[in-house]
Amino acid sequence: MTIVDFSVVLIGALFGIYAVCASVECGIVLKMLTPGHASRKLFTPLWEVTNVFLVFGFTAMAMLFNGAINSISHALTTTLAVALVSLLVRACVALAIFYIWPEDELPSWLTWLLAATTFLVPLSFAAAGIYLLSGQLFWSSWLGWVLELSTLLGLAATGLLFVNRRSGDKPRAFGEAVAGLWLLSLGCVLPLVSLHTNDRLQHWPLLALVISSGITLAALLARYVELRRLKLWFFAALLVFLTPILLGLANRPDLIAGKLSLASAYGAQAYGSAIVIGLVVMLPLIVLGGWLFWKLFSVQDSSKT
Amino acid sequence: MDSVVLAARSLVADTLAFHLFFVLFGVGLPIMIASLEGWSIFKKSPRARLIARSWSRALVILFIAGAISGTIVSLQFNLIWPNFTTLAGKVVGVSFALEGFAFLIETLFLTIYMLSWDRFKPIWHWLIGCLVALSALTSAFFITTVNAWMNTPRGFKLDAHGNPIDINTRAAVFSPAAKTEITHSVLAYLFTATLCLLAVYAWMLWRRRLGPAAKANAKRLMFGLAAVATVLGLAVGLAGDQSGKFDAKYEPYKLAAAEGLQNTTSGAPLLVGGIVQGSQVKDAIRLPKLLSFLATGHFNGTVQGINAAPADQRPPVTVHYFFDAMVAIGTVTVLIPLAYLVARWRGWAWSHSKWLLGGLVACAILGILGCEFGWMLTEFGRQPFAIRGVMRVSDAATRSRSAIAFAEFFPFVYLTLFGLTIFGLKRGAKFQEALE
Repeated sequence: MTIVDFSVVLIGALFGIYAVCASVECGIVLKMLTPGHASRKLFTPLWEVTNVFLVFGFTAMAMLFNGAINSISHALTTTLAVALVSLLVRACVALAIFYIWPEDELPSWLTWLLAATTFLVPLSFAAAGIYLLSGQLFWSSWLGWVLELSTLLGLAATGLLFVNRRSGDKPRAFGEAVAGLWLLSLGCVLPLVSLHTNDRLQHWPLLALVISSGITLAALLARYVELRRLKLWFFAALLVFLTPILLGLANRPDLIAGKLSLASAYGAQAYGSAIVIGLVVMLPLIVLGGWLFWKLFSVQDSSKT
Repeated sequence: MDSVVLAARSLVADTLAFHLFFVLFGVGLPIMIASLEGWSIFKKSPRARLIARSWSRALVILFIAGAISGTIVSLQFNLIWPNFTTLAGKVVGVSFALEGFAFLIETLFLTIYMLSWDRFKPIWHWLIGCLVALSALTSAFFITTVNAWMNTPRGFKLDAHGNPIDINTRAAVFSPAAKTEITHSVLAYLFTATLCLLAVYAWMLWRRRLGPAAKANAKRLMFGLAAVATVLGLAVGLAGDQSGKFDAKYEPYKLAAAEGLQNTTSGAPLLVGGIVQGSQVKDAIRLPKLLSFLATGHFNGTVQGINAAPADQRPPVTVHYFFDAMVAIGTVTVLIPLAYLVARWRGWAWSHSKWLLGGLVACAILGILGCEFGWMLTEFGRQPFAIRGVMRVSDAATRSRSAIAFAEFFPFVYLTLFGLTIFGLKRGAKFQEALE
């Protein structure tokens, strides 16, 4: 693996972690929308940690593939503007819900707005990813729309599986159906992506993604064959995490399909040393923090914060 | 100026002006909270712990908006200033990255800190609080090194195509401006955060809604906060003096513009107030030889004038307003807490008069404005460059016209978010409950 490939994996991993966190947030807001679960205690604004990984992923992209910033800025400002506006509106809504509006008077439109903006942020970043993969803005081709739909299903499915697991419920039919649709769409769409891009994409990462989807689908179905100890949420989260990494690797040697190669965009002298310093010095703290965060959040009662 | 560049400038200016408000709390409050919690352990004071907890609630509310505006700053720099990021990323990418790592640690451990008030032993909880404060400081340190590098770029050369070569990351990160800029800004954030906490309790006393016990607790707390604010305010002044001397040596045109000094002069006067007309400051109070003294340490020292710079490289003299406002605010916001301290110490009856309490409340607003003016002085004083002497603002900005739509829309959302944050603080921080 070359340093450029490693950089692709690193950026993919950062966006992968972001995607997992974002899908968890999506699941929580979906649960808030269901009757009888409007309680704001389901959610907590402390989840803003998600955005840190968004910044990390984007900054790593900008620093490691420095030569791509101009092209990305030129093509994707409008697409990513949706994410920026959504982030701001979502922060306004979160403040209103958690600190201003009395819980028993919370209007449903506010929760719907929280849900819409929570989904729009990762969807607009997915749209940017589709641009890198196809060289076209997502709305200009049917494949872009299908991939966005698949992302939407993935966010919803993984999120619903998470909230079901967290509340101790057995997987419910709706969450399972969404997960099934998502996995089927991934399995079907990825070969189409390959065809649409004139077989330019590397085969093995796509194949790995299709096989992972198949395994997860099997895990979903395994519930019906009494393999109850399988934790479906972990399979789904793993797949969400792997998707940006594998698609990034499949897109090699291009960063923006047909427009910019990884090699010509790469320029990471400074960032390379930062990663080494950061990993050596700060990773143990981040791992410790992540572990404590997870442990505490699993027993968290947000009314006590 | 090109409308796209103007839009890009106003967009980033709006975002940073908004973000700075949260930065000063993000850096200052964790230190204050950790200090008070440490005090509560040392003195075995449950009251101090309750108050620290109420401050931490406020920090979380401020953190929501601050984290969002910080995320947007980061994305905007790449989208709206692609040419700047292309160059800066290669040279000071390390600072961006390490700031990100520090921010991640701050976010993680702030979450743990808030969730573990009743779950960890006080000493462990306090250590986590210290980690939050340390990571907030680290984050501020690294991002300020980028701004310092923009003012005094070092650690690289440009080849014939404008690409950086011979990159020396260490020289770039620890550029000459780093020391004074970091010291001045971090102290100012801490000072302003203290003024704001002081203002909260002054406001409560002013409104006369506290019971006797709460009132006594508020007065004790205010005395401590006023003492801290006075010391910090004086430290900010000293750091500011060092910044002025630094500017005279490394950024002379910024200082010349701030003082409207046209020609290189020995024994240059300090201009206070006045009206900027073109490149001149009219009707100002002239304090003979004081600028020379402040800039060089000698009354007859030589200070470079703005005319020494090529005509197309001169910063606007309007920065004189920002400089004067910053210094005036700095002076007032030290004097009022000092007056309160003296009045309390001497037991003067007016120590809790409405005028003085109102003055303390005003200090918080002034302190925030002072930070904003200081930042504006730095940014406008670097014009027309984004990276001094290396890249002009017009060359750094995007060519995408979507920036214009952005620039028109974003201020309204920022204002909404700001209003909601203030309202959320009023409802959610529960400062008064901690006193009773």
